[in-house]
Amino acid sequence: LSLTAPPKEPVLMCRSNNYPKGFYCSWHLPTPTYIPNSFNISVIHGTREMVCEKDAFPKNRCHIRYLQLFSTVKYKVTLTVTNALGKNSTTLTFDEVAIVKPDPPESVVAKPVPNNPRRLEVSWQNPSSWPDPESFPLKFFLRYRPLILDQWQHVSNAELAGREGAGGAGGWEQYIIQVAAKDNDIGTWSDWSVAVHATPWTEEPKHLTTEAQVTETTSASTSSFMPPPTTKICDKGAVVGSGAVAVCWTAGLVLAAYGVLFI
Amino acid sequence: MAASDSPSAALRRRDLCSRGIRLAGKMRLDVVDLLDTYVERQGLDASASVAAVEGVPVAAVERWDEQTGTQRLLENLAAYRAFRALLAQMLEEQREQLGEADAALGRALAAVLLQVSAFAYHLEELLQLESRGPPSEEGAGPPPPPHLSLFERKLRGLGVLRELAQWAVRSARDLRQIAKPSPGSSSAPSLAESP
Repeated sequence: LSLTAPPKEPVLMCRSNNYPKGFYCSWHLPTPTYIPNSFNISVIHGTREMVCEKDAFPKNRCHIRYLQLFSTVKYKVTLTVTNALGKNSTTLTFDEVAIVKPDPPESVVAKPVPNNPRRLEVSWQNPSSWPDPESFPLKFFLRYRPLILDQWQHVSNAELAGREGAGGAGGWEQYIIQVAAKDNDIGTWSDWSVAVHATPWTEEPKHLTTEAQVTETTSASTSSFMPPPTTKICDKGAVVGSGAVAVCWTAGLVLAAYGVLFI
Repeated sequence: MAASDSPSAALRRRDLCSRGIRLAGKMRLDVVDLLDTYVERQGLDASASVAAVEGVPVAAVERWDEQTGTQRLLENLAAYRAFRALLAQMLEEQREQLGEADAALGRALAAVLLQVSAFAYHLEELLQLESRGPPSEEGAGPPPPPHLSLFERKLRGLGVLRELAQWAVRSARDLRQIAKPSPGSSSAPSLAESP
């Protein structure tokens, strides 16, 4: 019984995480063939064939430099895989802007705010792979939740979300926070960043009160969880992307210079 | 020091660039909405490929990062002047074709035409900061509309709006480049030197 096989249709993905420099395509086979395979990729833009420079590692990836920007002509990428038993191919067609997806923000840090038990300060950096954030600014989306709850709260670039501390004395003890990024004008959101944990400042050592105990035992239920009040959209003029700052106020979540403060 | 290099001119340039970026952003959103409406009302396939159309400014550019500020402004201005005329033609054709039956499409076209005109004026103001000012519009009008079938006119309109949407993205990027301060300076570089 031979396990070797001709290749099945390969899985191909193209993405630009360093716009406007270029994009990369990567591929893999859905099932192994158990014999050597060779891959050939062609990239066509209009009538022009472009060079896809293969990476030394990983071997299943290559890079294309944009020769034009702001083109309405689609890119057509065809990947052909061949082995001793046969060949197969797949084709992707896409706009320049459709595949733009930054890497997640880096260096996400969340810290308590002294003397303020209802706030945390969150900062982050642009992904280092994004080459020119000044000309191609990013916007950000943040989500957070108490460690012991499943429901995320979302905060867009210029939005505020406020919530009353649920369960009595001042909200939950520990939060998980993540941030995502997107080019201000085109493309899709990045994956979420690495999650960070933080605990708001407390005046004295935490001890469980009867009220808090009741809340914690019902933490899985949303009935005791107050939804955030209606979010307020900031003035666009107050919003700046990347590590820069947008400040919008309500009684709740504040997106501030290098920071997010929330209650 | 040339007038375009003075601190007040640099501040004025940066202010105009900021406002221009916001105008371009709003315009892009409205053009994208208009595209959806146009495709639907004209019975077109949104994914239809449209060949390059004569007289429609193409947003695609090579070596974009190497352009000077003046080049960016001149190319933008030429494009939006052309779009102003093209949209006026489309509006006229739409009124002849559909009349009051599709007032919504007509209003949306008119609204975008207004924004395009405003943006062209904005670009002229930016070029005024240059010693020579914006080029005149004499003889710069679009070619006379070719004799096209109704379907060809619809496809042409689709091509116009798609390129306009790309131009709106490009314009915001161009203005951010122009507004960038040069290294070692707190003010924006003069347009002739700024890439």
